[in-house]
Amino acid sequence: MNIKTTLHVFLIIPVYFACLLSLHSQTIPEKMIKVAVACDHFDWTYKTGEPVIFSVRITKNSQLLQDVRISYETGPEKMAPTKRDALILKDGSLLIEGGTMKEPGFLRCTVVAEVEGHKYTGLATAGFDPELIKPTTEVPADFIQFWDKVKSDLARLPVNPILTLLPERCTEKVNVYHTNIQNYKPGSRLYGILCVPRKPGKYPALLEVPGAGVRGYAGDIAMAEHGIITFQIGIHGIPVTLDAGFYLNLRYPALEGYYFYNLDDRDKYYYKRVYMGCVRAIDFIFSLPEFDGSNLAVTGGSQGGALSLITTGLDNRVKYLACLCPALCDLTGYLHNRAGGWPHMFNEANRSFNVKPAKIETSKYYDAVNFARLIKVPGFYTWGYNDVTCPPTSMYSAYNVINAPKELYVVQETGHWEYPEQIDKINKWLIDKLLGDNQK
Amino acid sequence: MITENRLLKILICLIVSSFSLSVFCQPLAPSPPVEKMIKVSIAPDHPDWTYKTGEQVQFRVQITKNSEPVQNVQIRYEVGPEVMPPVKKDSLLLKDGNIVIKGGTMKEPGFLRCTVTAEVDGYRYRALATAGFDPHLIKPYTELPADFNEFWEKAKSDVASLPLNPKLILMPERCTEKVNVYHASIEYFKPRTRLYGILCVPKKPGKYPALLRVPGAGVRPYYGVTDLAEYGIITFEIGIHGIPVNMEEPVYDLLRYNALEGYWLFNMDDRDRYYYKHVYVGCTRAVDFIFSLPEFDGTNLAVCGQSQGGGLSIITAALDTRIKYLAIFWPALCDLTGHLHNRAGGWPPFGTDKEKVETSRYYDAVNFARMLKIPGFYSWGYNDLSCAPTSMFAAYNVINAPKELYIVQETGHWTYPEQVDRMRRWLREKLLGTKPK
Repeated sequence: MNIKTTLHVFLIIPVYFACLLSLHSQTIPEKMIKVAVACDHFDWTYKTGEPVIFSVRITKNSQLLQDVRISYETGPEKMAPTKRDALILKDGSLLIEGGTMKEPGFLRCTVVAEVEGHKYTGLATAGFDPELIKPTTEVPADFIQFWDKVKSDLARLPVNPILTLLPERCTEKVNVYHTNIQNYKPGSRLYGILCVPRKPGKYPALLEVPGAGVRGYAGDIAMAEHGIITFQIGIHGIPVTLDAGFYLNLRYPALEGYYFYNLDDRDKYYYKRVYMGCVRAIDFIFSLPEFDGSNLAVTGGSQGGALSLITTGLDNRVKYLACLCPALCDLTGYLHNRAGGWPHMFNEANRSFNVKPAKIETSKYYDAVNFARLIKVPGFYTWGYNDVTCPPTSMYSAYNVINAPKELYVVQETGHWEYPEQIDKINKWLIDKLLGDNQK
Repeated sequence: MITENRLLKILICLIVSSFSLSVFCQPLAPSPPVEKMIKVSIAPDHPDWTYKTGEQVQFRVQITKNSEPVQNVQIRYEVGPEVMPPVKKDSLLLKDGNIVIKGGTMKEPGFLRCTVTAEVDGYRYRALATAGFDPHLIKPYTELPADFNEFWEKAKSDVASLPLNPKLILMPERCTEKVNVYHASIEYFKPRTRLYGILCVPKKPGKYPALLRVPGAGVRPYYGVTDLAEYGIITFEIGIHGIPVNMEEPVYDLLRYNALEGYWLFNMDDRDRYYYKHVYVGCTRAVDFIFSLPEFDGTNLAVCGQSQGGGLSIITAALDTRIKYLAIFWPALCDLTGHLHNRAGGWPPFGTDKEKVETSRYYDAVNFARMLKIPGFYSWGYNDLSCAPTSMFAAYNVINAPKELYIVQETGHWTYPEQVDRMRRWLREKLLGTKPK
C-alpha cells in the first residue's frame, strides 16, 4: 500500500463516512456501564394487541451489577410515558411489562441507571405492525402544480457551473473540484464537492445530499475511485471549503433553527431553495461530459435521507436512492398525538410557535411523505427502532406509501447512527446498481 | 439604450425591493449618488421644504442638460403621501423643460412626495422632492407593551452569567503607527455563540473614551472605525450575525442573498425567537466588552450607526444606560406599524400578521427612544425611500433628552460628506472634551 492509498483508507474513507452520515454519527462508542434493554421478540416487532416484555440487564466488565439504582419509562415514542418507576435492582436485571399498542406504532422503554454519580441510558423500542403505519399528513390538492411551477422557474436559469480544481485533494484516479452552480434565482448559488474519475470515459453518478447543520464537505473520493462520479452538496448556498470554525459560528445563532425560517409561507420557506438546489444539482450532473447520461443515484442520511426521498420524488431522472434514517417525514404526527418527523415542528416544545394554520399548511408541501408517494424507482432504506431524532413512526409513514421496489434493512437497536455493516450494505447496493450488470 | 435603462431599473429594484440597508465599509456612510447628464431638479416652494398642515405646497421642476433647459421632454409625475398610493399623477410633454406642480397639502403631520421621471433619448431619469408637514408633531403609532421593561430586563439577565470570554487577534496588516487593530470576539447570547467585531485601540498607554459602532442591515465584513481611533478613541465596530467579520467578501454576499436573506423577518411571530433578539442582546454585550478593556476610561462611551445601525444605536443606548452619547443617520426599526394606519412605517415592512405586530412592539426603536436621556446627534433627509422620514420623526419626537437634528432635505438613504464630518466632530467633542477646529 503506498502512502496515498494509506491516506485514503485511514483518512478519506472515514471522512467520507462522516460526511455521508453528517448530522448523525457512525456508531456510538462503548460505555463502561452497559444498560442493555431488549424486547422479548427477536426482531422487536409485534402485531397490534400483542404484549411486549422488556428485559433490562446492567453490566460492567460483562458482570451484572449489584444494587444499581435505575429509573425507567415506557410509552409510545415521543409521547408522555404511560408507565414510569424508580427502583434499585439488587442483581442488575429486571423485566418490565410494556403493555401493547392498539394501533400500529412504536412503544419505547427507556432505562437510566445511576452508577457512581454518572448516568447511563439504554433503550429498546417495540414496533407494532410498523408496515401498517399510515401517514397523518395529507397531500395538498395543488402539490404537483406548486412544485412543477417551482421547477419550471428554475429551468429558465442556466446552470452556469464554476469548477475549481482542488489539487491537494486529487488522487491518481480522481479529480476533485469545488463546484458552484446557479440556483433558483440570481445571486443564489449552490456549492458542492465534485469527484470525477480521471480516466476518459462515461460514468454513472451519485448525488450526496447532506444531513442537517452547517458544515464543509470533503467530497466522496472513495466512490469516485470505484468509477462513480460523486457530487456532495451543501444546502446553505455558501462555499463548502471554508474553515470549520466559520460554519460553527454561522450555525449558532444565525442559522440555528433554519428549518423553521419562513415556515408560514410556502414560497419563502427556507427549504424551498434547498429542494430546488437538489434538482439543480441533477441538472449539473447531466451537463457533465463524463456522465453516462442515465445512471444516477441519490443518497443521504437524516435530513439527507429526506432529501433523497424528495429529490427522487421531484425528479424522475433519479434511478436509485439509498436512504438512511430520513427526517422531515410525517411532520404533522404530533397534531394526532403521535410522533412526527424531525424537526418536530409541532411537538410540545414548539407548539405555541408553530401550531398555526399557515405553518401546518406549508409543512404539507415540504413533507417527505408526499414526495415518497411519487417514487417509482428502486430504493434501499435503513434505520433502527431506537431513533429518537427521526422517529421510526415517521420513517415508516414514508416507507409504507412508496410504491416501488424497496429493500429495507432494519437494525433495531440503532438510533440516529449506523453500524459499518449498514454503510457497507448501502455502498455495495449502490455500486451494484450503478456499475453492475443491470445498468441500462 | 434600452439595455442600460433596464439595468438601471433592475438595479433600483434590487436595492429597493430587497430593503437591504447597507454600509460600504469606510467612510462612515454611503456617498451621494453620482451626477447625471440630465438633471431633474425639484424644489418645493419653502426653502426648508417644511410646511404647516393646511399650507399648500408647489413643486417647481426644472430639467436641464449642460445647465440649459431641455426642450420637449416627456415626463411622468406622481404626488402623494410618502409610501402611500399617489393622489395625483400625470404624464405630459414639457416644451421648455419646466413645470410647477401643485402638490396640495396634508391635514395631518406627515410627508408629501413628488416624484418625476423624465425620458430623454430612451433613458429614464428620476428625481423626487418631499415636503414635510409639521414633522415635529408626528406621533408614533406603535404602543408600548405593559411588560416591555420586564421582557428586556429578563433578556439581559439571561446572559449576565455567561462569561464574555473575549478573544482578540491582532491584525498586523491593518495596524497603524498609532492604533492597534484586532479581530475581537466575545460569547454573547448562548454558549457557542460569539459576536465578532473590529476593535481599534490607541497604542500609546493610557485611558481612552470609546465608540461602539453598530451596523446597517445586510451581511458583510468590517474594517473598523480607524480614523476616530487615531484621535484617541477606542472603537469597536460589530457584526450582528455571530460570524467572523474579516473574511473574503463573496461569502457574505452569498449569505446575504441566500441563507440569511430576509433575516429581519425570521421568526418575527415569536418575541423570544425573533432573529433580532440575539442582535439587541449582542449590542449590550458589546458594551460589557468595552467596559472590560483596561484601556477604556470607564465612563465616556458613545454609540453610533446608520439605518439598521441608527435603530440599534437608539435601542442599545436605551437598554444600557452606561452609554453617554449617540449619533445616528436615518434610523430604521422606527414606528414599524405605521403601515397598518395608512401611513409610512419604518423598515422593515412586515405585513399584518397579528403575532408579528405584537412582537414588533418589543423591538420598535420608538419604544426604546421613549427612554433615552442622553445627548444625541441625529441626521437624515426628507427623500429617504428606505427609512421613511415619517417613521424617523415619530421616534425623534418622543425623545426627551438633548438632541441635535441636522436635516439635509434632499438626501435620501445616503449622506453628504459634510454630514459625516459634522457627526465626527460632534463625537470627538463629546468623547474627547475638546472642540475640534
